[in-house]
Amino acid sequence: MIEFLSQLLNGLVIGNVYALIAIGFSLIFGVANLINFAQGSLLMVGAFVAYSAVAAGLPLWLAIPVSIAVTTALGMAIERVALRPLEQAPWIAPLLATLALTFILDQAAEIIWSPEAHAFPSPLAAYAWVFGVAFVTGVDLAILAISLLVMLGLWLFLTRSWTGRALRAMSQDLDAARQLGVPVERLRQLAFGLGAALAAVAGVMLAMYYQSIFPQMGVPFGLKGFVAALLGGLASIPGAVVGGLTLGALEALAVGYVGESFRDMVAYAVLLVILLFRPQGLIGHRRLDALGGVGGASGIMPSTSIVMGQGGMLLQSSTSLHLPATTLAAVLALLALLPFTGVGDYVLQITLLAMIFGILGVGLTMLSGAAGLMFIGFAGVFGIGGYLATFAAKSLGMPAEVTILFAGIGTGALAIAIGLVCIPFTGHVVALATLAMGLLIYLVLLNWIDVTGGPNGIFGIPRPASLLLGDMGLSSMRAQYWQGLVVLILVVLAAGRLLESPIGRAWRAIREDRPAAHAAGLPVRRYLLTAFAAAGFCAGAAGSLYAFLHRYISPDSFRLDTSFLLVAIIVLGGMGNLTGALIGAAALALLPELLRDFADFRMIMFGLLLFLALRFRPQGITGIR
Amino acid sequence: MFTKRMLAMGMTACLLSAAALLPPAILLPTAAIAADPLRIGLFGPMSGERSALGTRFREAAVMYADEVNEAGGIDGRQLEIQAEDSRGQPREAANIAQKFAQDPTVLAVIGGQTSTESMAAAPILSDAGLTQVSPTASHPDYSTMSDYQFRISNTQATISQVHADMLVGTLGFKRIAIIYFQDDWGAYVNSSTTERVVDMGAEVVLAEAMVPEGRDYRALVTKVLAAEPDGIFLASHYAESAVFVQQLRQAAPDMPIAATDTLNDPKFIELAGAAADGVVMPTPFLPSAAEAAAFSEAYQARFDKVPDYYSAFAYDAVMVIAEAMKEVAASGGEITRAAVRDAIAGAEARAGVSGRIHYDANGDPEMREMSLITIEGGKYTAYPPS
Repeated sequence: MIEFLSQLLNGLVIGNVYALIAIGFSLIFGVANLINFAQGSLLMVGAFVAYSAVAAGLPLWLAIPVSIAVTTALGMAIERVALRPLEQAPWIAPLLATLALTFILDQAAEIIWSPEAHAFPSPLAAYAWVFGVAFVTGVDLAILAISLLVMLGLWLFLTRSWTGRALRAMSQDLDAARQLGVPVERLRQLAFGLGAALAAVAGVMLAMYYQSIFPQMGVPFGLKGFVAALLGGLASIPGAVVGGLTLGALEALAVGYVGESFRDMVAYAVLLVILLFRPQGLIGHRRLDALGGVGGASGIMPSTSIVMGQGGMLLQSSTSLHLPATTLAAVLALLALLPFTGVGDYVLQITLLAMIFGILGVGLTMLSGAAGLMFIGFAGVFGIGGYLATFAAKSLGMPAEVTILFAGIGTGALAIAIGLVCIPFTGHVVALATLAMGLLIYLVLLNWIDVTGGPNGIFGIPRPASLLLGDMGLSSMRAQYWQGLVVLILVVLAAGRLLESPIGRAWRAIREDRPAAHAAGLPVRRYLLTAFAAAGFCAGAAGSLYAFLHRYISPDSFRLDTSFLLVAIIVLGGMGNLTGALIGAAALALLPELLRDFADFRMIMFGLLLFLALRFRPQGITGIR
Repeated sequence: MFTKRMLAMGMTACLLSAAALLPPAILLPTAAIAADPLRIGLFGPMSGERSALGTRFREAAVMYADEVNEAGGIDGRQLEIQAEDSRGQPREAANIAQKFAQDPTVLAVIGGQTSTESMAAAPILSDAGLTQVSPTASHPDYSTMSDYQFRISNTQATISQVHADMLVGTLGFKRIAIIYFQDDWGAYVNSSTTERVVDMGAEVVLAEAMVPEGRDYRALVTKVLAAEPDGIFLASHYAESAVFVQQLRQAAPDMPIAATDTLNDPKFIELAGAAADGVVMPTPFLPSAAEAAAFSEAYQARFDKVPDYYSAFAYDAVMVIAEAMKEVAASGGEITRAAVRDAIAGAEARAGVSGRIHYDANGDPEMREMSLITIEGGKYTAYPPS
């Protein structure tokens, strides 16, 4: 009992920290209808600016306002430079733009402050009180006080002041607010500034909590804050606090009764269950989130549409580039000649990698692009494919074609199971649920040591021979390359056919307006499960090729960064557009290699190019379809 | 419409074959000439979560090369380090390996930081006849992958006896709580050390993995205290360990802590502050040891930080390769990939800044001496204090 209460106390203490981060997400989502991934990086910047100010000789109490001022300015600049130009883009584009910003900010911080961790002064940490087998420090109390004060202040601001009320009006109907004379541009910038200020406060408190800071701290804590915000109900500020505390308590109890390595697994699994029963979050209003986030309150239709912008009005469509699948396959077939041009294995290997990402992009184009179910954690599904193929090729000694089919069908079947869990979700909750799915799969791969080898992975995967071609070995890089190309072409042909068939049309109808599709008599659920199966098959095929290429497999390859890369591929290429998925895959898989010469600036360049592409082609390079 | 489609086809073809735009140097390999620099490829995480470690690799390796070059190079040729960032990802490590494999001017490769990335690169490098010297891969299977894999660190199989002796012998723990970092290295330290301490009659009352993300260890601290161990064995990296010992010390100021050599890093003391005092660990590298003094001083002067064992092992990895190159040159042979491998495998014991290195038939160094150290008043000192 003492241990249980102690663990609960531990959970509330860390949950307190999550709550403070979550408030920033809620504020920005509430007023701008945008999930700002850069919130985590702003938090890191806030902590580091305070650190630099202290290092420059300022006392801590003065360093904190300096950091808040700098971070606020940065937040406002981000809104102005990065997000305002994307107003006329599909809803996913600004989200991806904030992701590109995190690449830039995180790498810039590594260059400015060195990648190592730094000690952060924390005078309040010296005060500690032990209860049972847990303890509370002065920092914890300070964080609690600040969370409550911020919550109260924001609540007063949003409900009592004219500006606050105008912000809320904007979130419900941007155009109506504009017509009533609300200076929406300025107010939105203000909201971002405020969100950044909150991130800075959270960053400094986090730095004091851990007594150390590191440039990579943004992503993990940003993610926890995001999860807490969604758990509470995205647009609700008290919800953010409740969500943070709940997440913290879940984690601590998971550590106490299951094990530290299961911490996130239990937390995300419980999160999924909670979302199944309360998709609006613990405190969120159902009426606000049922269809399109907060905008739903004013009757704006579903947010998965990619031809409608944030106000619900039709977007200007840009010129689109769309090849029939047969033409695309013919163009791809030309790549078969690449090995004869005298290039070495390095070029073949990275081109093969781009083709593997192309297959994944094709799968995701069906599921997220055409059917509109934004699957953020797709790397997990890819991982399932890789491990299934490893099992088939290594343990069962299956030939290449059989392995690819086995992994494809197996992953497709599992994807249907995943789909059954994810389909009921709408709005931004889908993004969270699929993100959680991806993380859960990664954690299973990491912890199920008897089967997956755990963090060690599995080595010595054979490159199986072909069944049809008889004894011809496929062990050379060239053979692997051609094998990958054949699979890609087949997948492109099949997906192209599906997308142009009535099934593809049904997917797009569901994406644009799910209730309308349902009302028109489409079996929405069955169509979405078909999309999951098709995407899963592609992930299985890609996973097989990936396992053969590297001859080893480990969970490291299927982490969140790979998931983000996959989403970036289809958004950058053009949602729902097969041509776009292939171009996006080629660009994003090859870029990090082509940018090697930039050394330390590589990820900054990557983020910058991703951002510029979105800025000038907000509907993707080839346009949406 | 037709022209638009043609345009689209053209663009797609261009983008899909973007590989053809790669630097021509890769496409048209040129034969090495005698005056060319001797190039050693190096990879490790230089951005992302573990970037601090890869950066240490690069710093130490470049420093060694500069020292050799100032002294006239090897056989009149400059030693050059080509550093590539793997971001700690096996996928990128494999790409880099392929890049090195294909470049005939690369004669040997150093890397990577984790066993996973080292083992991802290994099959490609050995196919190309390239020697791979990993400074810190400690997985026992790494060196058995082919004749081309060598390492600087002890294998975990060797080192776990040192851990067991420290825990059960020197410190007298009967009930041990093991906290290990959740990666390939941590998982292996946990299982191999558990085996040895149980053999020696002690009991492992708790074994918990520490997850990299999150870094909140209070719940873990509570769990450790509830298990009532005599002491804790901490197998983790310095930044996470610093947070852990701080949080542990707030609840249990007197709990004895023993750790792995990863905590022999000045950054650990800087981050953990007073909470670091009293932690006991074995170490293969002491910046103040006689053989390391000159290296430590030069490293401190150049990079403004005390070298840690990542720096020292990377420095010794270049040393192992460079010495082999010198031997080949001295015997009048041509410095080729194969000659470098044979010279490393057949070498006598070498004196590195992290101690003596002599390879067995697998490519593992013979047991490298380890001594126990502890932290007192913010400084590393010998343990037990004499």
